[in-house]
Amino acid sequence: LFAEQQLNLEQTLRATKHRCFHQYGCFADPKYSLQKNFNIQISHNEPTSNTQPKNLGFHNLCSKNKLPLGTKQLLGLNLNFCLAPTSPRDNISKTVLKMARSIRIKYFLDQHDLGNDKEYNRQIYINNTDWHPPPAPLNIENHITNFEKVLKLKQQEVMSKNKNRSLPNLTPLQLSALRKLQSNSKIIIKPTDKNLGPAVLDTETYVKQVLQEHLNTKHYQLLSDTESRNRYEAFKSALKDLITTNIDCLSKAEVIYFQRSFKLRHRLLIFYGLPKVHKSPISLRAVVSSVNVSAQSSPIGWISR
Amino acid sequence: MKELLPLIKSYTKNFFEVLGDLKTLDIPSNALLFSADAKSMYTNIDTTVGIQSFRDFFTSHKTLIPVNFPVNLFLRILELVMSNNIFSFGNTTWLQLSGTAMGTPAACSYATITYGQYENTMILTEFDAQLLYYRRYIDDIFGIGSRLKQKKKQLGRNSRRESTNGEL
Repeated sequence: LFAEQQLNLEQTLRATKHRCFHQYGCFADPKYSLQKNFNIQISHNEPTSNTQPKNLGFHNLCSKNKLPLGTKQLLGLNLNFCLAPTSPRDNISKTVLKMARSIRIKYFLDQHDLGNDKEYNRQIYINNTDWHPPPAPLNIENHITNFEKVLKLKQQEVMSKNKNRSLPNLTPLQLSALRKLQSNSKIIIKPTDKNLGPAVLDTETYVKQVLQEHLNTKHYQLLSDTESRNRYEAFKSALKDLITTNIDCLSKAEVIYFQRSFKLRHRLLIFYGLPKVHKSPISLRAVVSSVNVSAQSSPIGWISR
Repeated sequence: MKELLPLIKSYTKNFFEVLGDLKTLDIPSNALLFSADAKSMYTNIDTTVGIQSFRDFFTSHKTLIPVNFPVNLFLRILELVMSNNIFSFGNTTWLQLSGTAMGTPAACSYATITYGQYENTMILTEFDAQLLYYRRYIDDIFGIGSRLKQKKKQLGRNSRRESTNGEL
């Protein structure tokens, strides 16, 4: 009876291992702790295909261009998928420098009792890149230096261990699809409306659709290079004038916010369309990106808070 | 603008807030549910109407706005921003002639307040007796009313005519 029970147990264990491996690409050994299991897993060079999601979804909206093999496997990972570098990056010094700056700023704020500055408004704050915090006291600086040393030693260990190993998190098929998609300007990849996964479109069809559904309608007007430059410059100078003449109505934080935004480099808002794949026929949702657009987004940021 | 949003009577923070309200609401058996969705709300808000709505909104809520709030500067910057929606598409440059650009942080609040001012002064005052519940999340409206049949068509007509060029 005991032998039979043992056999059943082993069979269940094998089946569970198989199921876990099939579903997650790995399985944990119950004899070890969670940390040890984790360490064992990441130290193994598991085949990438086993650790990838199986529920891949993307929308092929191309009618003129053929997609390279492996597009589904690549884009199905979604646009938020982080590509791992093929070898560990050597950027410890840069990271530590960033961390040290952050620690020094915190110390500086504490020392000058600025931690609870009522003037500070996160929504309308632009970093002063010209200002560098003074060094923190020696014991803090020593800790930072020691931390960097230990981190670098560990990094060297990892580097030497993985010297001749390539560690991408994409399969060769996905990598080849990525390269082909990157170099093909005839197709365009866009996220979809309502977050329904990436979509691939023929660039020509996409541009035609944007023009037809949005830009060539009564709501928009095409500007020549001169017109756009003049209008943009007029906008910036009108904004500067408004702030200068109304400086008394603004708080110190608001004045600093505008003054710093005027110094930043500018680019225009960028228009793009998101395919509404949940509708038929598929139309495009118009979106204007204001990321890194200080001239236009700083007043928008101020009025919208 | 975000701080002004709660002054809009139909303003709702999210779905959970509406769900919470509905649980406590005493709904009569002859009540009717209705929902509406504005057609291209962002692009259909005429800039002049939008700015005027804000001006009226500030006037009608004068007592609730902090005294040091720079209303005139706010309106002038809003006008400057809304009439200079310049953007690029590929190697071309465009100007948006009406409405606000979706994707900019001000778009949601601008649309909510512009239409909210119209609601506060026109819809909610005129249909107050018929509406048991009325909430709007940007361009999606959900409401419960009684004796709405006669007034329903009028509500739709008014929304088309006033405030924005939009259609419900």
